[in-house]
Amino acid sequence: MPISVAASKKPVGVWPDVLTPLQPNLTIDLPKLAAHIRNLAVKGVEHVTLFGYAGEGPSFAADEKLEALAYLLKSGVEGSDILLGVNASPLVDVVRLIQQAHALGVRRFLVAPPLHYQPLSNSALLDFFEQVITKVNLADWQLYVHDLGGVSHADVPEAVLTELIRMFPLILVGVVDQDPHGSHTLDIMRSLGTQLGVTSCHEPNLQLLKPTWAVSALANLIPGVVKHVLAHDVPVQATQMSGMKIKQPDDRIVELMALLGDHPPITALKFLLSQHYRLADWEHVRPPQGRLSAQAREPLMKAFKTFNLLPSE
Amino acid sequence: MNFQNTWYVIERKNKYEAVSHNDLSALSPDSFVMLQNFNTHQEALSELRRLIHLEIQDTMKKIDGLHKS
Repeated sequence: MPISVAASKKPVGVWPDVLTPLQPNLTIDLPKLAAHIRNLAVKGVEHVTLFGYAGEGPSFAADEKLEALAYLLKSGVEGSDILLGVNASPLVDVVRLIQQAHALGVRRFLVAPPLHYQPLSNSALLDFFEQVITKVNLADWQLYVHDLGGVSHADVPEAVLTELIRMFPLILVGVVDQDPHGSHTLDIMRSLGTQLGVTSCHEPNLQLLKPTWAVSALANLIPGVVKHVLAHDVPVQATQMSGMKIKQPDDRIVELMALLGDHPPITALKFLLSQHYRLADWEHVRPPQGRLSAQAREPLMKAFKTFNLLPSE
Repeated sequence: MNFQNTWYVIERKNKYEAVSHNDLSALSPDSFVMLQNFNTHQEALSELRRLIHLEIQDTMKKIDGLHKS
């Protein structure tokens, strides 16, 4: 049966930027990836972002992504619940990956601009996305622009987004802003929020920005918390005493961010997940991501124990 | 995804347990931490054994450390 995404134009809910588990030889550990997504689903997560920024998307070849997709779809994950990170520089590779993943059932694509030859002019960027959409030449798919301005100097200016909406109103659906500065995302929301689903990947900004959806790396560990932040509600705290501070969901996000500190975020998150699952292999990262130093591991492990992941989180 | 016939490894009262979906549904949501979900009882038990084995190893290391100090 064909999958239609046209009816649900703007995305909603938490879309964890799924960390990609690796085997010791640094190939993708497909059973672990499927198991992690299952565990997130049990915790109420209905959608996932695969090979996004936290999922080390740029470190994987199209063939590896397609193999992982095929495995996950076979494991019961719905193609319509996946937002696939597309981060190649050659135009032909971008188009081919979208077409091949579309054939497998994926309809949502998070496409980053090329990271080489930066800074790109507005017309060059517009040309890139226009060529991608034209050459993909499919009607039933959604493009989410991955704005990497805050992390890789690959900003997609509002002028480019505005023109893309004008040209492809049914294809361009959202913007995922990797910039940690809330004001950057807020500017995009103010200009284009009525037409696009704009969100920030920096979880501390979610409380202020109030987007309808979130692509979240922290949701690998605390999907329930990110869900509460998005819903602007407060989870029921099991132990309540007079005078005891009721923790707000965003307090837990701040605590987890503080715990991650200056460690490389993807490496540190994978380390914490390895602690949660008690599976050392979850620590593997593919270069250029680096492993944690021996000195960094012990305090991070202790801090995670103190953080004390709660049942509802 | 349908979890009706699946199994879970949870941590409850400082102990690991393998429980069915039905049994899990009967527990108070704040009384346990869900660690992993599995398709079969066998997979859940295998994970339970692994975790218990790791706990034993950790405890042995701690005891060895106490002896040395």
